[in-house]
Amino acid sequence: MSAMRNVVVSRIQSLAPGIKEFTFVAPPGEELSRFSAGSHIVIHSVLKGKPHHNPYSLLGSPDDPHWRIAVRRQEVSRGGTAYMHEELKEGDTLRVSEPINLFPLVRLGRKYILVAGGIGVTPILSHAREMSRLKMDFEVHYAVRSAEFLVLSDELRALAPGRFYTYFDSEQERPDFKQLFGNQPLGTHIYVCGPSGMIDACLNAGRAAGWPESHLHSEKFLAAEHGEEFTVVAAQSNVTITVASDTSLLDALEEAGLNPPCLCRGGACGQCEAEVVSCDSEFEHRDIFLTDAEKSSRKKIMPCVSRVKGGTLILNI
Amino acid sequence: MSIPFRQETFRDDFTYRNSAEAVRRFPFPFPQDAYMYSVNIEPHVSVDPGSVYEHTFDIDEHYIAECEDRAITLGKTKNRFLALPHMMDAQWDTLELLMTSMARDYPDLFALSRDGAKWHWMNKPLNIDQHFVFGDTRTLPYAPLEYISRQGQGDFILLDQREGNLWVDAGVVTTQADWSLAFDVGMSFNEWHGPVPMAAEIGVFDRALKFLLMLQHGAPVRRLNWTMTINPRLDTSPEHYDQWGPDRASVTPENVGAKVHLRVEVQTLFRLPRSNGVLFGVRCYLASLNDLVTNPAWGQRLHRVLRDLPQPLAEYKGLVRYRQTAVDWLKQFDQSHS
Amino acid sequence: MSAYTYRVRSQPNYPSLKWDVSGARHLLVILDLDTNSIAELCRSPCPGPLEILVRGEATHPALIPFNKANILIHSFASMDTLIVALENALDQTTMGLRLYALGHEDGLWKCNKAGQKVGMSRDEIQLAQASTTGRPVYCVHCGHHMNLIHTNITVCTGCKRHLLVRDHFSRLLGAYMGFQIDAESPGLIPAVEEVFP
Repeated sequence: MSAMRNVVVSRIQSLAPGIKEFTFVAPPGEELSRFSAGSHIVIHSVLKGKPHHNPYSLLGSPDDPHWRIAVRRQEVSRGGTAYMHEELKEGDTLRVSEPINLFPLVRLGRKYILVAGGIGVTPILSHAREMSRLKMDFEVHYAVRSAEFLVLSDELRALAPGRFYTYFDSEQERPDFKQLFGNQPLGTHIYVCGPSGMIDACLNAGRAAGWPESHLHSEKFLAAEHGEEFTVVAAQSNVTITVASDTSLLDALEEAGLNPPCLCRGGACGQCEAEVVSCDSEFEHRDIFLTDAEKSSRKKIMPCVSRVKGGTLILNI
Repeated sequence: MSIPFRQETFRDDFTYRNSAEAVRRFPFPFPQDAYMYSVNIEPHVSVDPGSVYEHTFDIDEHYIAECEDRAITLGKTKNRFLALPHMMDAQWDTLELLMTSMARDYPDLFALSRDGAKWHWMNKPLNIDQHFVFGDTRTLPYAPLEYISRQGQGDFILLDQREGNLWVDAGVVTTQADWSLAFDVGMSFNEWHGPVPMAAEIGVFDRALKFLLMLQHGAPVRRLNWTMTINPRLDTSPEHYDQWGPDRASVTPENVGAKVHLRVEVQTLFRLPRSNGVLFGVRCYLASLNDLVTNPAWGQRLHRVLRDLPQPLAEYKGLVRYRQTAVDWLKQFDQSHS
Repeated sequence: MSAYTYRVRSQPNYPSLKWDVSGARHLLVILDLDTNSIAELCRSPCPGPLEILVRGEATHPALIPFNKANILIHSFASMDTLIVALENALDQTTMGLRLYALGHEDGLWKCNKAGQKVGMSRDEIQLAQASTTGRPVYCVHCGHHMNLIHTNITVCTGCKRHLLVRDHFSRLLGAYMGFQIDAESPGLIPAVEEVFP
């Protein structure tokens, strides 16, 4: 289990329709730790009796005494964003993880290209801040649905004067990845965060232009999406649990008193990897940690984001 | 609680000695009668008041003498402090971690006051009173890592994380068990451990690396490692092998109890918050066989561990020349042995 | 510190060069003309534009597979001029390039260093040993560098100590570690053998 702490909500601010910024401070007498660019925290919340764990990138400056995140309310799926938007009030205390970084800066680059799509701007902003401080050569490309969703752009523009480019879907604008990747000096790294489709388009354009994987960095937070109800048997502990359609496998295991190791809860870090003894239905692998071969082997599953389509799953935990 | 600091040396006349209290709290590393590598990592949390695990960075009776010995080594040989240019943030992270931990854990010895970036550090045992600006290297007499390492016990190595690996990209290394920072700087985790026999084959390093890549800020870990050293010498570096190598041939049945030291490393690993680097602290504790056999259980166990140690490990740890002499001498403390 | 009894994991292994199809352009540095290695590499066609820097004559028979109109071959008389040209080429070119080097170990790691200098990563560079296994050696006592050491034990040209050449290798220094072989028993030097032909 990751290191946890309490924070107090000091400010809630609406940035755009469906997007709010939250500022957290330490409880009296405590201090928040510094963090590195690309870090996120996991917020633990309970909505209608159900626990939720959602990762959010820290977008502020590590030198500030507070932490800042921005949350887009998601129509379906994660109850966590609904909780943040509708239940949480200034002055409330929240249980959160210490910062974790699965999208860290490689400090040996000669140049950096930052690409943000929608709310994916949050880790990009923290990278821009760090690159500006370290006087690195970088540029920022930021795509949104329409001008009203262009949040946090004043800070970005100030960090990357003359090197900040915006694209509006509503105007049929989008980054020309082929051109972007075509003419960059050796030693350039790209950092992209946004919707899956955009990340894939970006990374594929990079690969097509001959970029090696070591210079392509992306962060995709995966929702523990809903699915069919199924039964899980924890073979070692001899516990049988029903995983409801709106609960993740990891949350269900924790509710039953089992505490498998976990960290990111976003299918990325690999900590919660569980060994499958057997399964009589289809897997829905949604993580980005297991290899394709591991996924098709039916021997491993990442309980934080993945599940099965009904039936019974027996795990060696 | 104030610590009675000893005046002693770790070279030339070797006046280093342990008090009875230092022997009592010595981190004896063998949980069993036989030794083999394992991923023996546990959370670095405070346990057992008075033990070496009570505080984040243990300060003991050898503090001043160890700092003096480090200053000699840093002054005499180059490249014992090295930092690649991209490690500056990790250096400041380390300085912050050491200063805040030491001032919190030993308020009678160290004090830190902070007003934004203006810091005031006081180290009473070493008579240091330093005002500086956090983040501004021009306000310290040395680079941040060297500055704070000169006031700490044990070596401090900074690892950069990238490409799914950890890289030995900075450090102050003067109390090491025969490895060279000047040679190893820039290596990946596996290259760095390349010379260690047997461990890679059983997957120790691959598992340890996977674990450390996910090390989280606020949740440091520790492990023990050990070797043996002739005379209480901190600086057993490859650079000076010609100076300490001959000591290995000097062990006799008469002097083995006083000359042969068990060298235990309490290794700590911290995620550094701002740089996302990892601080690897290697704190060296030395105890002579004479010290150790004052605890009957230790004498018995050490006899069995040394006697049964696999030959490749004995060779790697450099014990071959004197292992038998030590085993023969320790036998008297293992009455029940068959 | 015994040597050669087990595999040290810092020791590089050098698989044969193979065109990296994920690259868009390719730069091949030939430090030592090795007919077999070149023939093996050329068994498959280079998947993109190719340029070659060679130490030696561009007309050498080993280079016949590259005698095509669209392949540029630049020839250099010395290692030093070649490395300078390589550094300039890397500084001017763009992402998508793959660097390949063929030759003796010391030269390979000079090419690697030129790549690192412009921020290239390990997955953009391939190195393959050819012509000799003579080792670059770093004396851990005085910091002196030596090259093309063919024996298990060598005398440091900096501090005159007899050094055992270990398998432990530093990619940053581009050298194996040498340490004093007779430190524990001064004057006792084992037989010197040629082990790196």
